[in-house]
Amino acid sequence: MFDIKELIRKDVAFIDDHCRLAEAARLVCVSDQLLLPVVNECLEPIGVVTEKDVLGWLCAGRDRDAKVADCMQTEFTTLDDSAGLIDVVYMFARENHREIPVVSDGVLAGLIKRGNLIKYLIDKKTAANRGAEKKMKCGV
Amino acid sequence: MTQARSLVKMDVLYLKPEMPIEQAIGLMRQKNTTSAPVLNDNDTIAGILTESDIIRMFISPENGGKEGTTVRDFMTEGVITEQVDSDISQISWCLLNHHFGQVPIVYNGRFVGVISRKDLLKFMMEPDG
Repeated sequence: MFDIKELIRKDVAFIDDHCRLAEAARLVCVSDQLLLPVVNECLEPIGVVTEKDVLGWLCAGRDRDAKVADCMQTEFTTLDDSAGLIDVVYMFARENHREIPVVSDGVLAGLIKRGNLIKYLIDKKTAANRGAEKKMKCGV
Repeated sequence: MTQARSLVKMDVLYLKPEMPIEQAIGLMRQKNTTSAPVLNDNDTIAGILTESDIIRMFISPENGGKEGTTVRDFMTEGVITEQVDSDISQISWCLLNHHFGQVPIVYNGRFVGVISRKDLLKFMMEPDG
């Protein structure tokens, strides 16, 4: 039985939209995340800022003292913590996301990385193959 | 002018086209990398295997889990590369205008290493970057 909570990484870096872009860049550089959820005071996601957003901003020679709000994406994808495995897999496959924030009752609960989803799928497949081999050995 | 050579990461995982797909995924997991270049015997680039390719493998009923499948069966071909003496602004343009997070760097057509968006961001955040 799939439980999305097995995939959610709870210990994630996030930021608020009043922070400086430089702080977002620093967080992206020191973490292994490609995306920072941007949250309000209730920890509800209001946007995301990605390494690509920050890099694009800096490469365009824009103001380095800008705020996160200036360059964050306000149209973004989230997954609910009740989503099923098929939803999760297709969300990653269809939209080429590498990380997706997860919400629980509208509040940031963590994020899912595509690599963790792959690990989960491989582990399940390996376990299923082992089960099938065991059955064959037992002549079931 | 900063060239790609000053940022290129050379100690990276690479795969071979004939490598079993399960082995390749295992190596990518071990190295915690989201994509790996696939090299021919002469170090030219045959393709790249990304997490997207692997996810597609799982949702492709005709391919998923078939015995004897190799990296070649799932890798993305026609990889965009940059030259080792390309200017950093060219690398930035490439990484900002395509969906991939790292670009392979070549010298005389042979693979040298990669530059990722994060490498570039770290460079840009340096005081004189």
